[in-house]
Amino acid sequence: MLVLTRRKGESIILGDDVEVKILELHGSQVKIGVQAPQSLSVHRKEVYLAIQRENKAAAESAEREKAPPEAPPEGSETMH
Amino acid sequence: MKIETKKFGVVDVQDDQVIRFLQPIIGFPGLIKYVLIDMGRCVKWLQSIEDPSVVFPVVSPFEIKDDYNIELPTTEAGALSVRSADDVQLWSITVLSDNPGEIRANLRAPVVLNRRTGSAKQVVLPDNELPIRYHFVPRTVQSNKEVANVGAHA
Repeated sequence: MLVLTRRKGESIILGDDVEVKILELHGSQVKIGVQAPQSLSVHRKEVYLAIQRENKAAAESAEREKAPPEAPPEGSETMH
Repeated sequence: MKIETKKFGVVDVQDDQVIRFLQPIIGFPGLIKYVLIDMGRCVKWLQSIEDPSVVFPVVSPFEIKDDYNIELPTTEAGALSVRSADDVQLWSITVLSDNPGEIRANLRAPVVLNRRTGSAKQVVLPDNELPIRYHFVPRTVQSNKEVANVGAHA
């Protein structure tokens, strides 16, 4: 991992069109500004990972779900 | 065109039913073409056209949470060429389970579909109060259509 030291107000540039700027420092918290093209998504990592996990769980649950072309048994809880 | 699916067998999809994602669904790189399969129930199916084995159960977030209300960030609305609220359809990716207590939908990152253009994106909403795992009890729908209808978005 590349490690750079930056001060408040300073930035780093990723590629040609992404800027990551240190905006504020409060104790152990850092406020970061990201300027990037619209096509690039920026996420908090824990949120990204949680969504990825749910998406995978959803796809796996679809595989487990039996015989969808037929109607499920009356009163089935899993598919309505 | 006819597409191969693991879950539904061969499905006939019209060109105007193809949903094109601006970016792949998170965790499923390389897959951007999907179709919405509606069996007349609360849970619909977002089926990959490119990978027969990839399909997501989805529900309308408005159907499972009465006061669901979001503000689509303007950058996202712009990227999806949304002109009015009528263009927009939202789908929450859902985890199904035999255990009713495990059934949940993602209200934080719905699939936003522009019905007019067929473009879509899983949008991570800035409102961090919205749950990624929202547990709900599926509503019984009084429809027994057994033939899969492929939902047109246009």
